[in-house]
Amino acid sequence: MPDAISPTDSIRRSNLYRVSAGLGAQWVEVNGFACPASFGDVPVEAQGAAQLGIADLTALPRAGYKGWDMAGWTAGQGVDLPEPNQARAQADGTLACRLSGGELLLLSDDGGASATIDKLADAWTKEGAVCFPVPRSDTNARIAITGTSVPHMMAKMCGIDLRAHRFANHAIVQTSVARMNAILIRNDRGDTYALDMVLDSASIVYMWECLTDAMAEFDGRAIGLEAVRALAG
Amino acid sequence: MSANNRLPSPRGLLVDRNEPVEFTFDGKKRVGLKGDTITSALWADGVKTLSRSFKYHRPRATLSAAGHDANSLVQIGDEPSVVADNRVIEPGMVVEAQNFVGSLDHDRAQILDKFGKFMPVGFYYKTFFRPKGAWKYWEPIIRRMAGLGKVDLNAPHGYFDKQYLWADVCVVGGGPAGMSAALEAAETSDDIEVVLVEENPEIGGSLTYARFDAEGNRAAAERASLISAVRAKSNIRILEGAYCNGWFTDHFMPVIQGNRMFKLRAKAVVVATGSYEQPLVFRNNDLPGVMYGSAAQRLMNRYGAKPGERAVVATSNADGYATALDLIESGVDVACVADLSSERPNHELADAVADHGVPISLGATVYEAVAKPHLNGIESARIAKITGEGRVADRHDVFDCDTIISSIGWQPTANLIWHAGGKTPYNDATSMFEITELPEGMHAAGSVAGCFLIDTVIEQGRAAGWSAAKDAGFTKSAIPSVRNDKGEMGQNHPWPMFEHAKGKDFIDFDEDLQIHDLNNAVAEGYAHIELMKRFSTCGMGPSQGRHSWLNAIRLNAKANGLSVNEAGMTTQRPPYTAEKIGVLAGRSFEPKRMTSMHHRHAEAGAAMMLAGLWYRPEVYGAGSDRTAAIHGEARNVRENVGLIDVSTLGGLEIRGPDAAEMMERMYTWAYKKQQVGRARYTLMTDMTGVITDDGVACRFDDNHFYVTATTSGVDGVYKEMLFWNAQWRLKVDVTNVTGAYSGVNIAGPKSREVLAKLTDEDISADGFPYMGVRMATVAGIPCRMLRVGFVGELGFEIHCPAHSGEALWDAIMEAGAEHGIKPFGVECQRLLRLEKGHIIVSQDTDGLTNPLEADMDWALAKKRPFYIGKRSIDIRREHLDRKLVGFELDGGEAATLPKECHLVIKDGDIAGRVTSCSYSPTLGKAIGLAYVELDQAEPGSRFQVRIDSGHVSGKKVKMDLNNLVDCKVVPLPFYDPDNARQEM
Repeated sequence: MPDAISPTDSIRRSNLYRVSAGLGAQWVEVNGFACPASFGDVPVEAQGAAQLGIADLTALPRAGYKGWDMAGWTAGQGVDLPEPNQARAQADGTLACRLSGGELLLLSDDGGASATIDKLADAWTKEGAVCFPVPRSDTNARIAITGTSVPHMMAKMCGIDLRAHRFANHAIVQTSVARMNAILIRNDRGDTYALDMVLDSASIVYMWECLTDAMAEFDGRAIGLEAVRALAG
Repeated sequence: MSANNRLPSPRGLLVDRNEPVEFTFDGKKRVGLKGDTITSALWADGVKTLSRSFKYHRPRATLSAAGHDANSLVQIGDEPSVVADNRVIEPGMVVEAQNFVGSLDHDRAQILDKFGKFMPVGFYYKTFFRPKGAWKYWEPIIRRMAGLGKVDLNAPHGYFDKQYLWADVCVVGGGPAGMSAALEAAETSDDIEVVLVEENPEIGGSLTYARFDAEGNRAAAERASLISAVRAKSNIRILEGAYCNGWFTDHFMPVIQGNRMFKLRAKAVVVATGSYEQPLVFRNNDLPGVMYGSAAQRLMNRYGAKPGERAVVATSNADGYATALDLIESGVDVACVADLSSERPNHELADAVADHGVPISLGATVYEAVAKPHLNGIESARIAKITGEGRVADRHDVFDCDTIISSIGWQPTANLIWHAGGKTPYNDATSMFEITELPEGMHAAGSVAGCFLIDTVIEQGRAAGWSAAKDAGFTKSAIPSVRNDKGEMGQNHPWPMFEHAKGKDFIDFDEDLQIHDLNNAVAEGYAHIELMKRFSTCGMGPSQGRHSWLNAIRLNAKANGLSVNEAGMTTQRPPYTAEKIGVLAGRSFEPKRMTSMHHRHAEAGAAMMLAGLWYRPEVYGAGSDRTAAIHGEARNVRENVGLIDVSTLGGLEIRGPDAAEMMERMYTWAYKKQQVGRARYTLMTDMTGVITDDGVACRFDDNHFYVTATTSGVDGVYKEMLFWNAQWRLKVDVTNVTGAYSGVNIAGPKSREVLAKLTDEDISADGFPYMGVRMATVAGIPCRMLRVGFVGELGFEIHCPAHSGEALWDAIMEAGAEHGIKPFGVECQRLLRLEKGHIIVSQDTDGLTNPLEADMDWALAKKRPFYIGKRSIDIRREHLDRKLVGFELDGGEAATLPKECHLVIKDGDIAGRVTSCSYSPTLGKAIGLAYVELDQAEPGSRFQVRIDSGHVSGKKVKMDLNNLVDCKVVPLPFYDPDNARQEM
């Protein structure tokens, strides 16, 4: 059972928490946030997530580094860097998303911890810095969009062909979704197609409304962190 | 005609005889079958007339049964001009006819038909402009008469949306050519993706109604074979009931299905859109019962509706004989076939008709349809021998009939090809427009490519599909061969127009244009095809020339003594057919950004305003007196303590060894010597020296500046910095962290007391002086604390991680409760900063304002050789002609306030403008900022501002050029000139 906490118990709150509460979210504490764990029956939710689900994963840790020698410094810290616009899972489950030659986004796995993020945070110092932390935890919100209908639903909001055979797992696009800038990372959960959308945290309510509207015809639904984890197996 | 014109199976391919559908037309209950269109259901139910013609109000029935004319436009609820030929009936549908006065059957406006000779071509242009003032009389009458259908301005918004779609090959048209093309393309590889677009509810095209052989089996066999093969291919996506409305560069095409527009991008395209059948032009060729052969076949074979009881068929190709056979087999008495050609087609279809004993008159045409009373149908057809181009013998044979069928030729549905720049010149030998050139990646097959022989059509489709697949990067063996035989079907008669002395020989049914109308247009000097089109309006009606333009061009060419190619074609542009505005609009994506404290503002009764994409609290609890609410907020800040959400303020991190160098190039002031832990004002100008943004630079480290920017300016500032450093290559990183931080400004004499309850930091005047900055913890939240103020009071700006913004707001409001803290909005902030004399970039500056004009010389580094805009500013220093000054008005609270952009008037000329003006409850007078000429800028000078309305010298005035209010220039700032309050 999720912990009995309320979003307002914490000083860190996703801007979407009122919407999630309105949908009947049960909460679990993650990274200092109250994160929607589920909206009812987790197995049923997971089943729906395989078709089409959206989850607010803003609570999960993330970090960013940017600068003229980001690649050299992060590689020196043991990060297995992919090519630009590609992501690569690290040994601890952290997803290293390379946004350009000089910019890296790190997403924790759905477990809510990231040794890679912690290690880089400890290692970085301003003295002699060749790259700099980007406050991704607060700049951005994170939404997981899961299920086989995701590419068709997203085609109503985004001009990029995100179909599974055109947009490989761990591919990245930095594009416009519903007229807002967003980073889309294909990050399958188990065998289920999934996207992680990293977007402006101030726009998450707007984006959630757009997604909810677009997914209605595909019987999409809001899902919690438990269902996302269940997909991953 | 009886009310039961339904033919037995196998006629009626698309209708379900077990499912009757009730609907109403013109207020009367009607019954059709599931799958019927409005036209077919009504026809089978005994109703032919669907509408009244645009100009003469003549009764009109279906001509093409495919929506290629305006005859079948009807109203359904709040949706005008629905194409009844294509709209499938639904239970309870309420269908109304359009364009009549009185009733559809007894249209009082039909009297206009008697006055046709008084309404020649261009009648409107020539008539209603005189005598002077006449237009005012005629306009409402014409407006009532014009237009089709009724628009309901209060109709609820529908739900429309758009979706991107991708394909390797897109085939437009689901007839035999299109299906063959899709199949061939799909068979090249399992990986290829093919999209097949068909505008009818089901694929099949001409195979669902046309006839290709005497036995009548071929169409059904090919249909079954092709449709099952296409549906079995998993890599063909079929969009039925969808129309491709245009072609744009790189094969980007809008495909509209219902209320959704697909934005389809393909690598290659096959156009298999078929062709429009063309009308035979003779007197009364618009009467209900006159229709194309393809229309009769559609009615019979798709919907099982019997076209009539006794028919005359006029034709110049094998198609007419195919229709005649279908009519005979459907129980229609074919009285005669008038073949416009001098020889019968060498085709089994013609032989079969002859074998049925139908009289065939070669070299003859229908010359007149004799109308029933009130034009309510056909009584008989007059047939005459053709004696030359457009001429007939005097002797006529008369055949009683209720139906006249014409099959005299086709016009390719080449709209997409024309959009793409393909070439389709007229071939004088075949009397057709034929494709000679297609753009790269586009292929054509079937009747759009001039091919009507079913075997050739299928082969041509296969070849086009193969070629398109190849263009998309998929190849399989060799290109399928195509026989060089187009057969006897689909051939055009070179001149199917027979002018009658009494007229009513219609070229354009939409606009009621007759042969003599177009000839007269040319005779009056509107000879060029583009002029003739616009003067006559030929082709400008709802069907956009589908049934009229081929004959119109022929007439124009002849009248000008030119060939058809010399006469030319008008330009064809998207859309291919009518589309709803809602479809174009789609879903309305209107991005919005909300700060983490947004809901707290709403809960406190704030009226929200938009600043760029951000929602900001304008004023709290305004109720009925907005000004009082703003003044109340201001008073609380000046006397007590207030809190404002400044999260929307831009934030940029400038980090690296060259951070200070970057700052000094981007901003006008000096930053290399700025101390760590201090803030400094920033002013940004562009290359022309114009002010573009301002803010403060907080130095947290030798190599780290945190710079604020205006809410709406930060994205531009960030872009500028990236642009310039791409050239300068400084060792610096610029990051836009606007969204990363929420921010509040707590201001007022009690602000320190409140904040002290939430932090262990020394925030005393000495410990944290004005313009100090530091990292701090407030209410357990890691923050950046800035001792800056925009409103001129003791204040602290606190920036915290965005997701903690609401918690910070809650903590400060709770801590400040005992001190009477209240939130204040943007309007209050604007008033307070005006009192303090601070400018707002883009309100108090414009697209030409330089810092010297804004009296900000103090913010310019004089000794530095470079910052962006310096050279321009130095030049402008010698050419100043205006200055921003502070002014005040007499009259206290009763003073009439000039509005922003009200003009400063000097000797009758414009000398400047007001940028800000408000009544200050703190100062007890009205104050403002304005640009004035230099000789008006000294404190104590007076100038006048022209206002639009209000009170002047105590009198209420309306808008007048002489409404001037007197203003006095005063030194800035208006409030606390010694800065004692903000630095306390």
